[in-house]
Amino acid sequence: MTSYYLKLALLALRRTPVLSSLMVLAIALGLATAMTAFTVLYRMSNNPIPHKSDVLHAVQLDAWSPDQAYDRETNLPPNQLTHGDSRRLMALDDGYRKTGMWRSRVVVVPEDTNVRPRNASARLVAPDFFPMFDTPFLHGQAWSAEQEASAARVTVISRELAERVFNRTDVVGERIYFDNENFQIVGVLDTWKLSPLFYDITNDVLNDPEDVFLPFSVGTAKEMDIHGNVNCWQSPGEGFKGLIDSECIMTQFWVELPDAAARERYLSLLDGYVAEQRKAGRFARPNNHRVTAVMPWLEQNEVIPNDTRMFVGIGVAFLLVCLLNATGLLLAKFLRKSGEIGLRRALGAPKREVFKQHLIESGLIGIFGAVAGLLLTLAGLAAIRALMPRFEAIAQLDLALFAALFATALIGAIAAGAYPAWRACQVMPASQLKTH
Amino acid sequence: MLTMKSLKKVYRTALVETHALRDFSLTVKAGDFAAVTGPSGSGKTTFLNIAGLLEEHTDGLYELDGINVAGMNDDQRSALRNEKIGFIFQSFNLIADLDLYDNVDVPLRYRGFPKAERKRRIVESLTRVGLGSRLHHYPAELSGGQQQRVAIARALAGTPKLLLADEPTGNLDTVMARGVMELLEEINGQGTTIVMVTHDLELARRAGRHVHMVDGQIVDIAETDFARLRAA
Repeated sequence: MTSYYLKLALLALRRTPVLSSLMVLAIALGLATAMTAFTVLYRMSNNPIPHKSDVLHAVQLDAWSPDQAYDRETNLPPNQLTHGDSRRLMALDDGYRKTGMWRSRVVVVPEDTNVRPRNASARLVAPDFFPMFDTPFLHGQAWSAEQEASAARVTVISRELAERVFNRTDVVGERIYFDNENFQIVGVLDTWKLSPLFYDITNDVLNDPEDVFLPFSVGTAKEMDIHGNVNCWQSPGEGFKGLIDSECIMTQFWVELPDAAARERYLSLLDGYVAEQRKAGRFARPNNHRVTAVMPWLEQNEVIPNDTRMFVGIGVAFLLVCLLNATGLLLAKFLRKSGEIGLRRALGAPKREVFKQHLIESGLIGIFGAVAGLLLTLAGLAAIRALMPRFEAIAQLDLALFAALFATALIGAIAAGAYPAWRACQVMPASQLKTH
Repeated sequence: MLTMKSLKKVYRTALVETHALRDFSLTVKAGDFAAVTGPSGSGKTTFLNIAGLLEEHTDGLYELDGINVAGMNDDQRSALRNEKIGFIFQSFNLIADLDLYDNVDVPLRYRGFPKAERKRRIVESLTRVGLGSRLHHYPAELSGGQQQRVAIARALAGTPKLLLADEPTGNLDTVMARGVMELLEEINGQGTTIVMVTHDLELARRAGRHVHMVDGQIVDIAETDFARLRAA
């Protein structure tokens, strides 16, 4: 009977094209709004590096003011380290991959004088950065520890930058001018994304990874600008040197700790580091250093804005309103054909068959609504990408999420049709047959 | 075929009790053609609805083809209705979106016949009422008389033992009404029991038995002249 009911459902949709379209549209609009919101939330709360999120840890030290906590509400330590702490922690021979880092900017000056110089985002990192964050090398590799130590003018650049400057990607060994200084390219990264860009939550987490990676030591030597938050509890000294030797926090620090034992060992190592620094008159506050894995780190720093959560709430509420609207329209539609229902009952249809027939009709409307909703969602996400380019990586439809939402929409549409279908099967045949 | 003994039907609301059938007893034998007449509000339609298992009676006994229908659930009543009873309505009650083939197919679908069997029955019954060449026409393309013939074909397709007709000629002109009546008589002549509710005394007299109702009760049952003539 299912195929028969499908045929009847299609006939019924054709019989009332306007009403049917309204129902499909109601479901589609509600679904698209909710799906668009969910997609953005889902992407933002996405695990950006699932296979390593448990081993990569953000390091926090509390070298903040002895007079007041960095965060008086939560008593959490600062979410960045001082430049000096990053330098010293990187210098420790502890056997773990680790990197301090900060975001900066360079002016890329092409050799071809016909091509205009352009700004490019840059990140100052240790060579461990690349294996830690699984950066995909298209050509070449990271610079060596020796090059890091000697502040060698070497760089790893993005594929996009290589194509822009050289019109090709195989440029390892080539030289590139950043701020009028000559750098040797040692590696080219293929296009990659971390969504959200968790390693620096003081900048926009919707950013793409930087185009230029330079040794941390080079950034220090060249006194490269810090593009991120710099927070101080006491005035820094004069100039860049004064800043990086101050108690101002400005660098991010990550360490790769493969298991719980490593985590414990590293925390002990931090205990020792803090104790040693105390001897030098720093770290006046009680011990409050910690290492935090990726997902708790994102949560702790409230990477998902409240606006996004609110948008999801509104999306879900709108979907419910749309489904209720569809229920009302279905009810009107089914009750309008009470005569036919009465006739079918008289001709031998039990109530459950009438119910099934109308539930299938609701389900069909739900499928059409879900398909239309998918198209509207794609349009909605495209609109977000067009209007807010920084959402480029976020506003992408996720198939697993879509499948879940499609199923939800279908269940929602069937649920919306259940009451009208139940009302339809309650039609008293005798009362309809005289007037049909 | 149909036995009702001391049947009662009471409609109750918070304020009013309406006795639609009171102490109603009637037996219709297999092969009978019974016409039920009576003024408006006499209980004819209630009787037909109960006979057709569309409504439940309040009290008394109702046996359809020897089966006591009291206490049956919706599935059982629907299955029994589908198997034993064919309905013919005053306003034909065809489904406008379905062609004649699919209209006649409706009760057969609920019966669960296989496709080939359904097709055989549909073609046979539409041919029997003279519409075998118009299987894929739509109701709107037919005259009233032809539409009622389709309704009769639909009622016959399941080979029911009992045909219940509610004013089957009420919406037809005299010529078409006569044609439909002749078709019903022919069907009855082939052994199908018919109970017909009508206002038309002329038609009632053509049935084998004429049952007259007033205020939910039978006041007269007569074997008609026409029946005697047919018997002769």
